[in-house]
Amino acid sequence: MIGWNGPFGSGISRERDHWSYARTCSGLEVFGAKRVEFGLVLEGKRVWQMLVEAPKSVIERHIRMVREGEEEAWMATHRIGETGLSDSGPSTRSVSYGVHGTSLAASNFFDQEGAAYFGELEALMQGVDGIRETEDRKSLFGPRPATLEIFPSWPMRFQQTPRVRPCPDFGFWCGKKYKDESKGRTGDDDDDDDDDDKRCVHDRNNANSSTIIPRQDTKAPSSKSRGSKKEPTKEKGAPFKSPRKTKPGFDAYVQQLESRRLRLKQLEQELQRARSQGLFLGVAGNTNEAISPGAAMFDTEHGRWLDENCRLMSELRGALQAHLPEASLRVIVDQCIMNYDELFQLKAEVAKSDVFHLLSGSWTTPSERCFLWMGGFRPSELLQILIPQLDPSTEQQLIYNLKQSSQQAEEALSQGLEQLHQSLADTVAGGPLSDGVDVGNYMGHMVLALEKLAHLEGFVRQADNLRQETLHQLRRILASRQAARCFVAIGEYYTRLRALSSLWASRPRQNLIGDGSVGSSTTDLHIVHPSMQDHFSGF
Amino acid sequence: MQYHAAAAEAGTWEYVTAAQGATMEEVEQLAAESAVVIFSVSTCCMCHAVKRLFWGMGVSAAVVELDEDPRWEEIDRALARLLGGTPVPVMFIGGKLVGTMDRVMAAHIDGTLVSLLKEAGAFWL
Repeated sequence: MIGWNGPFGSGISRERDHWSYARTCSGLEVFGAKRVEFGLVLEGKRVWQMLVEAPKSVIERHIRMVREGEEEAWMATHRIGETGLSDSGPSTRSVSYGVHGTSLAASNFFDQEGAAYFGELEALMQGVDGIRETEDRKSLFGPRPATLEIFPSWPMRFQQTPRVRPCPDFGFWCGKKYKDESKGRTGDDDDDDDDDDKRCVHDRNNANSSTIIPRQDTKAPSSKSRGSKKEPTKEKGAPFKSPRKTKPGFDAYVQQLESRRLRLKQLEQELQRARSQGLFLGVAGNTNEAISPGAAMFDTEHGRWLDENCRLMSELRGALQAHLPEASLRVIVDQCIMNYDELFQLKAEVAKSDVFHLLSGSWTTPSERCFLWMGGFRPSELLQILIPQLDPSTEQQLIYNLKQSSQQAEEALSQGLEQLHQSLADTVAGGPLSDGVDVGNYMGHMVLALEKLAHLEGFVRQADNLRQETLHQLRRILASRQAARCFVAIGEYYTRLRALSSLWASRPRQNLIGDGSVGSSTTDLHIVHPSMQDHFSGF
Repeated sequence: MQYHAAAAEAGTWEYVTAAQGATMEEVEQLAAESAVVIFSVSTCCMCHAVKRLFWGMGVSAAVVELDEDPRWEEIDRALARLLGGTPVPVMFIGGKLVGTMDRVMAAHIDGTLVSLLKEAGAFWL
């Protein structure tokens, strides 16, 4: 029996275990294991549970029946399964109804790769379903190896047209000749990602294997011969294929995964190359405008800084829990301070080249951006959070005084910035606005406005200076242990804020068509983004 | 005082005329006139921020608007010699140089600004 957390324990599977398991088990059990990998890849375990609950029982039943070699029992179970699963509609869709509902939405939820995975799973479910449809065909129960349980002998149907054939309901399992699978498939299939979920997603570029094309597509075989000819069996990490136990559909699927991984690597390399050439597409939100190299560099460095900061925070937390002496705590706290100084150094550099990037806050998460003040956090807000964290009232008073000073300074800077806004607006609006443009004055006003914009850098610099001084003063007025607790609290606060952004982005919404980020119609979906794993480290 | 020490440096004083030397004293004199003296430019937004800071603390500061003063070039040069670059705003508290916005902010967070102001009698206490 396949347990969801069966041979893979808590769901962590290593590829090696996976392949060795493949060698020894039947195709479906491997497929079950593969679905575990699906779940891991997409980190949406509950989604997968939901998706595979119903069909899994069908598949398990099939395995049992086939092993016993009883056609009648299979048909009987099949009928039971049908009534058990379908609550409405034709049996052809009963298995996949749940899958449909979620896969459509989920395909918007995940990236395109995820959508392809969902599409494949759904196709497989339809394949399971399709078996019911063909139960009358005795050819299904012709002599076949014990490992090929639910997959009908499509080769009978597809051997006539090895290259170009329409994709049947069996999704990506379809059309795989038993012999063809030894060659496998490689290449990219990103052009398939836009296809309808029901159609199989295959790569059309591999010349080695029998490629499946979507229904409406009638590409000539020549289009498939582009791209690299690979020998998948020689790929590193390619599954061991025992001729006796090779399952055509499974191997094809595995090859598809491999090809996608290679494609991902290629894309990453292209991205690196483009970045090194100085042009970088902004990754924040839906914007596709190119951001400056300075800003791109800052984003990268900021990511690295975040990792370093997280590491220091956990070190500090560990030191506090271990009740280390004050001297050791002081060392780590000083390291934290230096880490923050590095951040302000980074910000100073990018402020010289691209101050708008800092002011826009595109380097922060959306919830942090809510609180953005002059390209960063507001020191008094941070101190306000810290006050309840400290026990002795004397230290609370110290923090409170620091917060008051900080507030006065912030107020002054804000008013200065407001003055700048006013002055800039007056300059830009200088001269007649509605009576046409006087070219001479226009350029003069623009030059003035440019000079005024240059002062923005000064304000951002002063704001960062204020932040830095506040953190340093915090360090000075508190004992090492209290300072350590404060810094841990600050780190934890921002970790939660960043996690909040991810949660907000993945919250369920009504509309099925995503707006480019996330959308799901299932209210109890709780998909964890890969980035969230880091952010929950403090929980 | 700081700018006396700077003025004593040989290199910078080679080209200094009596008038410019006098400017240093003028600056000093201006700085001593009031508990808090801010050298600023009326259109500068950072100067506006500094003024707001002091007014927010309840401090009445004497402001020397350089663009309205006929001696602005010399004062500007003297200040540049003191601090480098063209720093505006520049604060003097109790006749002593505090510095530009950076220093003022840091001093305010430190708590030293308030103590300096108290010493200079800038508060209405």
